[in-house]
Amino acid sequence: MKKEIRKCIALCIAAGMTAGLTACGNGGNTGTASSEPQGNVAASNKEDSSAAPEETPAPDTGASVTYPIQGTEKLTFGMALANEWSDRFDSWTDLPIGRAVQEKTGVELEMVHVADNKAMNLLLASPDLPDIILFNFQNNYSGGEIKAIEDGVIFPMDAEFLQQNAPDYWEVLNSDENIMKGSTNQQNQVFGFTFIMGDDKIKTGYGLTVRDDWCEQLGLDVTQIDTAEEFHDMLSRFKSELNVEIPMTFTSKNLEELLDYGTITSPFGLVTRDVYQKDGTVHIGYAEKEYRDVLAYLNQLYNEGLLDANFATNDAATVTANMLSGASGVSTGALGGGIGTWLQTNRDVKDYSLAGLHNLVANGGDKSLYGFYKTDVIGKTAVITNSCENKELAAQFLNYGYTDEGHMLYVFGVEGESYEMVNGEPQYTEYIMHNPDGLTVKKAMSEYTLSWDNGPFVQDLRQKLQSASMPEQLTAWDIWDDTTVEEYFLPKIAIAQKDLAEYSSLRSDIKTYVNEMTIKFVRGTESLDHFDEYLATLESMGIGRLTEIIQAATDEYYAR
Amino acid sequence: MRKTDNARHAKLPAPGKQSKQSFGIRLGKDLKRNYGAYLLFLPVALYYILFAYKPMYGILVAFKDFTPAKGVWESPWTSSYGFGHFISFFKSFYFGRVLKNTLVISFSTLLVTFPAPIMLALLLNEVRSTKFKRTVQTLSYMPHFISLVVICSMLRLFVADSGIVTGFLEKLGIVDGTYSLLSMENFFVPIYVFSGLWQTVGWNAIIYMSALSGIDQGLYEAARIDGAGKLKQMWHVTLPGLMPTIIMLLILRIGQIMSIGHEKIILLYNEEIYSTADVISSFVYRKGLLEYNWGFSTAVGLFNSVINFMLVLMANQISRKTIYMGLW
Repeated sequence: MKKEIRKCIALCIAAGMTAGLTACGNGGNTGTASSEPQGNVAASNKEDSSAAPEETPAPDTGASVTYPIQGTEKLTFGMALANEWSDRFDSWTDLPIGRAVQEKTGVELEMVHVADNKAMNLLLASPDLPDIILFNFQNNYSGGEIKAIEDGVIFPMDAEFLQQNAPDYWEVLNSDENIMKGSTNQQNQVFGFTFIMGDDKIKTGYGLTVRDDWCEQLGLDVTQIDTAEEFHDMLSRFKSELNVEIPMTFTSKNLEELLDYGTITSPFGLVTRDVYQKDGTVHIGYAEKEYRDVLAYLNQLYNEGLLDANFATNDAATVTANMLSGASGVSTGALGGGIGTWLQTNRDVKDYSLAGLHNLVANGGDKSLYGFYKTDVIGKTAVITNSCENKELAAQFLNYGYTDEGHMLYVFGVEGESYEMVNGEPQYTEYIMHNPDGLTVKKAMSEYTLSWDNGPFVQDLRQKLQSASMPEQLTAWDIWDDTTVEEYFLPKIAIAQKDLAEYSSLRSDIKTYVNEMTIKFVRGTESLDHFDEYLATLESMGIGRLTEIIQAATDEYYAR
Repeated sequence: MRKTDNARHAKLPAPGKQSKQSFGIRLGKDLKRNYGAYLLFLPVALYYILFAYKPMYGILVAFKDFTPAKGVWESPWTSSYGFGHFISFFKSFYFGRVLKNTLVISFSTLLVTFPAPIMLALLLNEVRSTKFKRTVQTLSYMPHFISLVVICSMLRLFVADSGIVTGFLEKLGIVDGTYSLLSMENFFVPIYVFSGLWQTVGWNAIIYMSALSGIDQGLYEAARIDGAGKLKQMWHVTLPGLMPTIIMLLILRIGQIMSIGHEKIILLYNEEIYSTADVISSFVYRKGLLEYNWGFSTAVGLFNSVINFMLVLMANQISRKTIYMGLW
């Protein structure tokens, strides 16, 4: 016991000394690199952002990181277990990707795995955090990364720190205004190593999925179905002519998606049920009059028995079962999770084909107003915590994903094992695409890459194109992509700290109410005659104030 | 032990003299004299200090804008002199609803699941065949050992559109069998209460069974001689014999009126039936754990505890006044 304590103390002292040393080293560099006061560094870099990347790697030897990094220090890495591999491996460092990353960067990792996002929050509540945490703060931490900086969890990085320790990442940040704004707080501090969409096409990929073979049987051309009436007719012919039990199956979560991604709202003049902007002015779809017509349409479908009677209590497994067994002909989902998984599972079933259905529109052939779209920076962010004793090393380690070599590793994995170069282009191997052990593409990919998920690198369109390699998927992708969502999409705004508590409480109370009422309106347990009362209740719950807060954040975003 | 006892009796000062000495001095003397007893008591005291009293400083979180990284002390106080969370809970759009649902579910659960084990115990007590008695007992407390998650997924299947319960109700003409019962507001409370009955009745009957075996057989004999039938015996001998146990358990149960566990609720409810199914604890769960508003959820938890505590005091007082029995 005593020995252990002594060891601990020794370690602490050693760690403190190294931290002190590196800090000193940094201080020295500050003097030579720039004479400006710290606070202005980020601002000045923003102004001449094009010049910054050329400036940084030039004379200073500390500004480019060479891999593997010399030294034997360990970093602890917090990450939630993923179902994709946790049935076969105990730790991420046991995976080929984990081993390769350690080898290439020269940094030894000690994983701190938690079961899920909730467990990660409990971990965040403990005083002793891992050095690096890969976590979706945006969705799972109240107030996102920016609040986590405020809470003292995340170590915020300034321009200089990044130029010194993560020059490649710094270059990526400066390549696009939206990437930079999406990775920084209002004070222009970078909160972490973000997952960046490399290509606009990657941002899309969600929509309605329909049994193509059934349409063919009925003499319907799937590519021509895009208005609300056509969609209704298709469903009712499924029911009447093919005796389909539940023409359209989905969960209450799916319903939210259909409405929030604007998949079925365009015919009624509603952009999306969610928050959107038009020329910089914020609108909230669920508080607009047009929402009534969307609900009326869904209610009509429901009353005619075309929608899943039990969608409110359904879970995703039921939906999948319905789609695979032929109990249902239409559902909704993402490119990989929905149409991809279903086709793959049923690939040996005769007479089974799926196709993507265009987002519903008012007039045939139109683009839909809105569609599924992602911000440039999204999902999980790898952050350096304040508990980290060697922040420089952590930054250097995380910078690796933004180098060319690191990009290939995170996206494609290990050459010769998970991908081969064919005509100068990386191509996933058979092990990934048609796994000998019968693993799905996603599961196989999870052993060699992080691109199936999120991580500290720039996503690659080639990954998406290859993993969604079934022709049906690629066609569906193009069909779903036919939108004008860019016009209305709200960028990755940051709510002001002073409004944060009010914002999250308003938002959660109102969202709860909206979801509850939506299900009731669709199922008819609440008459649509009460829609005006619903709007009045929203008003009394503070929808005006909510809009105001979002508007302020949006203004701030465009002005930053 | 006996030695120390004797010693204490021997040196016990006169009552008048004792009160003049301060508590500290008296305690010191007593410590010296009965150190053995204090030593035995020490682990228990430590247990309560460490696990019941020390964590109480966490209640401070209810008055603070708590962030884990800053800790309890460093986190700033909330608005309204630290009462911000309480005010926002009372003013919340959902306050009335979750309070009402909590009380409705709690009282119906109490009404149904409290007398049931007593009756089961009384009935089993009259059963003469030990084999039958044991079988019934084992079967009835079996659900107690099934994990709640499993219980709830079973329940979801039972009340699904094609489930066994739904089918039964359909035969009776109560529902039409197209929807899961859990998507209908009116069914949530019955489902919750009666599944609770199924889960707990056997287990809770055990304590009454043991109380029954403690009743003096001579009383029954005397009653029989006086010409009392089975029912009269039950009414005049068995029930009075059980009364202390019943009262004790009832008072304890009343102390839990405000706290319905969120686990079973969130495993069963869905957004559509929030209007009857959302209770304080599930509301707190969503706020506190899903939105990470620790301060708010602690404040609501504290509010619950205070109400529960007052209810226990009241119940005890009433029972002492009316039937001269109480916990203290």
